[in-house]
Order: sequence, then C-alpha cells, then structure tokens
Amino acid sequence: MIVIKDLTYGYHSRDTLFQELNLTLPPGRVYGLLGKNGAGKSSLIKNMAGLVFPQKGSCTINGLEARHRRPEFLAQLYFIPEECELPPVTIPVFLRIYSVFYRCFDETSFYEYLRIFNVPEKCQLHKLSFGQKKKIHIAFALAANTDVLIMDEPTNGLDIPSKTEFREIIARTRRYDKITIMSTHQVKDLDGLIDSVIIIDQGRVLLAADKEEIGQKLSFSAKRAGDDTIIYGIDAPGGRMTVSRNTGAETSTLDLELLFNAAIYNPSGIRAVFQTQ
Amino acid sequence: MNYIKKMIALNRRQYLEHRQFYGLLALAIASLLFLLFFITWHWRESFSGGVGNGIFLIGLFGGGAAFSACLYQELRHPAKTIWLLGIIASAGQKIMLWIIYAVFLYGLGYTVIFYLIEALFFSMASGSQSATMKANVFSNGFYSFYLVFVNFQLWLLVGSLAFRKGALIKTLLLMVLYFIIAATGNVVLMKAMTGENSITSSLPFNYFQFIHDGENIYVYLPASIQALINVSYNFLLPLFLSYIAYLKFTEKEI
Repeated sequence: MIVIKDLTYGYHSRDTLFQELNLTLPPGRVYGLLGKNGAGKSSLIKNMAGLVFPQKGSCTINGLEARHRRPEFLAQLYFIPEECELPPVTIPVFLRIYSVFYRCFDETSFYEYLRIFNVPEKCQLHKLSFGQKKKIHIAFALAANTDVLIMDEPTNGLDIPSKTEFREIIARTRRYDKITIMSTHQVKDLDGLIDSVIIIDQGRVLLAADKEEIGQKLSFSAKRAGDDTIIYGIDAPGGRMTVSRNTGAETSTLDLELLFNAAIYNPSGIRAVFQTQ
Repeated sequence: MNYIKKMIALNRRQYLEHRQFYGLLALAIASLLFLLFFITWHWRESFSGGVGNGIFLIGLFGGGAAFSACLYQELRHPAKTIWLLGIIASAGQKIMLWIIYAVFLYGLGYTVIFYLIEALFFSMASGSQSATMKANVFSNGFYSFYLVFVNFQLWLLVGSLAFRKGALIKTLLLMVLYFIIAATGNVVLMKAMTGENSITSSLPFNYFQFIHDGENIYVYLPASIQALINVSYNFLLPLFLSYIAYLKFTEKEI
C-alpha cells in the first residue's frame, strides 16, 4: 500500500507545489494519474519513488519511507521515468546484470513482452530509438514483478502500433496483489486499462476514485443543456456529451477524457460529488 | 542477496557497462606514457633525473581524473541517475564500489600499465642515461603520492555529487584555488606569526622557508605534530571524504 500523508513539496522552500496532500493507494489496482502538463504528476510519483524529498509529511510504500531509499524499499518498486536511458550492452548482458537484483524476475515473460513489442533481441541497447528503449524498460519492469510499478508518461515516444502493443501487454499482465501507477496527460492512452483514476491539478487532488465509484456517482451521456445535474458538457459530432450526477441507477461507460475535462474545468463540481479535499 | 553477493552484482554491472571505456582509457594512457617517455628520452639532455617519477604522476592524476569523469557520468544525466538510484543496493554499497574503482582499481591498473610501458620503452631505447630516467616510485617516500591520489579521487567524488553541471572542472578548479590560497595564506600567516619578512615559500601544515644571510633556511613542524598531521591527512581525511560522499549520495534528488 502507498500512503502519502500531509505531503508538502515544492521545487523551492517558498514555492510549494503540494500542500499537505493525502492519498492512500491500496494494492491490487491499476491507477491512472492524470493531469495537465505541469500539474505535478511527475513530482508526485518522484516523491513516491524517493527521487525527490518532501519538505514536510511522508510517503511510504508498505510502511517503508521513500526518501530513505533503503534496499528493502527499492526491491518493492520499479520506476520507469519519462525519458529512458539504457547502458551500452546487449539484451542478454542487460539481463545478466540487472535480473539478479529482482527476486521474482521472470525471464520468459521478459522475452515474451519483447516479442509482442517487436524489439529485436540481438541489439546494442544504447543504439535503439527512444520508443524501443522505453519498450525494453516496460518489458523489464513487468518481468521484475515488483509490488509497485510506476510509469511516468509510459506512452510518450511510442508510435500508434506500439501503443496498441502496450495496451495489450498491460491488459495481459495481471498484477492482482500489486500496485501499478501510470501517469499521463494523454488521457485516451489509458482508456480501459485502469481501475482507479487520480486527477491532480495545481498541486491538488481533484479526484481519486475507483471506476465503480465513478460509475455510481457520475453518468456519461448525451444530454441537453439546462439539466441541473450536468457538471460538464462539450459539443460533439453526435450531440452534446455530458458528465452529470448519477441520480438514479443509471449505467454508462466511463469516458476518461470527458471525466478529466470535467475535473479540470469544474473542479468544485467534481469535488462536491466525491467529497475530496 | 547478502552484502558480498550484492557487491559482486554491482561490480559486474560496473565492469560490463563500462568495459569498452576501460579498454580505451588503458590504451590512451599507454599511448600517452609511451609518448612522454619518448619525448623525455629524445631530449634527455634537457631533463634532469627523476623524469620517470614526473611522468608517473602526470598519468596517475590526469588519468585518474578522466577515469572519475567516466565513473560518475551517471550523476550528470537525470535519466541515468534515476536508474542508478533505483538499483537495489544501499547508498553505502554504491559509494563503496565507486571508491574501489576510482582509488584502488585505477591506482593498481595504472601502476601495472606504467611499469609495462616503461619496461617496453626502455627495452627499445637503451642509452647511457636510460637507467637514471626510469621511475622509482616505491622508494624515498615517493609512494606517499598514492595517499595524495586517494584524497584527490575522493575530492572528485564529493565534487561530482555536489555539483550538478561541470562537476569535474569545478572540483579541479576549486582544488587549484585551495592550493593557491593555502600556500599564499600560509606565507602571510607565518610572516605575521614570526615577524620574519623574508619568507619565500611554504606548505601548509608542513614547513616554511626564509632567507637568512643569503642562505635558504627551512623550518619544519616538530616531528610528533607532523606525524599527527600526516595521519590526519592520509587516513582521517579519506574517511571523512568518503562519509561526506555517502551523505551527499543519500541526499541526491533528481
């Protein structure tokens, strides 16, 4: 479980990005961390990974403080940064070097993911393109089987077929008792992949809820303007698409992009529904 | 994974990822040494004795700085630093491995290369003065430069952790600045303390020299205090620097 308690963080002591932020992420779910550019997504996940330190408060994974970066903590976590670098070695040498650090590393799965991603197995890693490097990181991270997997903008640098392959791999990998966090501003890329949504903006959590809860509390449908349950609406070719309070037992398909826009453009409306801070 | 196994795994990583560079650096150092031996041998009338020791020091410190620059390159790129920090090992183990490589392995490797090249060169270039031009590193206390080298490498490590950009250059410049300030400052201090205005040179924590009746007079610290300073400088300072490096590494943020 990841517990963020009263986290205050900023690039400088006077200029805080997060002010006493609280968030608890239980295991067994795939979290989509959404936000605009500069909303603080990367800073938040770097705090979780112990790559930056909070000014106040704490961030723990299974009770271990992130900022201490103890080996027991690092063994539970795999972090894929937005920009990936790989050493000048071949894939077998890379595995020989790094797989020994991960107790549950699954080499067969690693090669299977590489095949799905169409990454050549015989290549010098540092000569690969940005997207190919990212694929190797993702394949290694999934094969490492750590309790927590954090991916910062995982689909950045991936072409359209690769994004499809990425979705296939994430969908195939069942991390039942583990935490997967994917941070992105490209909301569409995570559609259908995540169990829980966290939307942040200007250092605040606008929404943190499971898809089931969102389905119970919100409705995504075409509605006419004037309905006072509407939180957000946008004109689309098929009519006006809206996010509205689910007053009855209405069922609708979660539209992640619409939800994201609703949280960004009407944060008070969303907070009122979910009773967030 | 226990401590030893983890150190072996870290060492394997360090070696396999950089072996190409190590090979190239060894080749570059060997070529440079060969060139320096050739220059000093060819114009041997222009050089006095002990040239070999001078060449040894150039390679030890110059090559050591180049080696360190490669060793700590992961600290210069955020993506590489994230990768390094994420490796499942303690900060102490990562620092320890750097020290082993920068100080001990480089020092040993360089000494072996130096003596191989020297032997090779003087097997080809024989002459009346060739015997006096050879290095004599392990006599007359010259090996104490190894202890200076340890501190030099550790300062580079601390500098690499302290500065985000241009760490090597900044650290080298600071070291030069320190020596200038320390040497001139020591002269001023000694003049103030002794009232002797003809002090011409000095080395902090070691000696000062002044002119009396046209003679150079050297004043050294008492042997017991000098011994204490030597112990502090050669053994305690490396420990302090290693600990500072460890603390800086634990505080490292992206």
